[in-house]
Amino acid sequence: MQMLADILAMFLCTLFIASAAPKLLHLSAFRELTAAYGVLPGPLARVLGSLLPFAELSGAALLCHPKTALCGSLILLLLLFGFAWAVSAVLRAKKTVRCGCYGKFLDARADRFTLIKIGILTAAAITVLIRSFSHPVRPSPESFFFGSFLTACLLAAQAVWTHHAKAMDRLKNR
Amino acid sequence: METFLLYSNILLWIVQLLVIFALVVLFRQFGEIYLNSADAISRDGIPIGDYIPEFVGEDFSTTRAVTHKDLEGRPTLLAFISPNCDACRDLIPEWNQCCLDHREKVNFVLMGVGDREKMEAFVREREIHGRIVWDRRDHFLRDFRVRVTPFAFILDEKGIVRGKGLCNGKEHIEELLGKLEDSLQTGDSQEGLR
Repeated sequence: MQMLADILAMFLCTLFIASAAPKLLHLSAFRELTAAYGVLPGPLARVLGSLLPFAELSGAALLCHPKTALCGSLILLLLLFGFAWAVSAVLRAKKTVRCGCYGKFLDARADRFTLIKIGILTAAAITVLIRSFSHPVRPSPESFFFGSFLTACLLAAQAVWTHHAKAMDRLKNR
Repeated sequence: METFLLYSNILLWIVQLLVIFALVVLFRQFGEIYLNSADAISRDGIPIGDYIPEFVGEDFSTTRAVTHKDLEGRPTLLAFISPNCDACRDLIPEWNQCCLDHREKVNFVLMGVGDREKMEAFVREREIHGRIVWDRRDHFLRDFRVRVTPFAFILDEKGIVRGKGLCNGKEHIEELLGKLEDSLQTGDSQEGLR
């Protein structure tokens, strides 16, 4: 169980770093993308868009140390709830919006797949959070390797899904 | 060694799940290409050159029985509609217009499928020209091999299919009527199969 919690912690850590880095590289584009969701007033959305990558990096960094892992998982959990709310709002409004989950690194839409992905990440974050109360996370080379592998798999699944969604759009519009 | 085997087994399962996911989405695309493209939908229905199947329906307004024999003697545009189908609702105004334009030469017959009460509401809510035949035995879609609505056949005076396809509006109706004209001009006297 400890190993599982460590792996999940490293999975979250590597994923959020992979998510935050492209956003920071194109911060202005990500700000506009956040505003495009339309769930918050424009100025507030842009401010949030500027802060979001830093929050993701902070959460990911805090996960790496046993003493701060609890705090890190709380930050990521809050972020995930926020993402779930925003994506749900977009789905209810039947809008087509770019998710911006990975900045310009990987194209993704705010759709059901994104919601499912957020659900999986939330479950992982909750597991790490609960475990952190009794047994602090202790990163190791093995847990880092497995966590990175899970991140790579999730990114691959995202790429497959995005390609599939675009192909289906083209087929339906024939 | 055992730990290595355990972890590599878990990793392989994760990769396997990813591969299965990729296969599922790929098959979804194949399905979309094969089943839902306009060309694919046009492959539906009774083959061109065949007689329409024997059927018994109910005239919606008079409740009298209507059979395949009632369609013989004059060319017929036979369109399948469902009350739940948005495209069927959108079709009606152009169907009515085409019916007024061509009713001297062609019978316009709508074959209603689905829920009877919804169909009654569908008919009540709008003016519909031509004849409406109700599928009281729930066999039309199966017998005519129709998968989607609105779908139409153009029949000659003998009840032989001369054209078929989606029927979303005036353009499709005119296309089907054109196929009838072509078959008459080429003197296509091929006897179909029943």
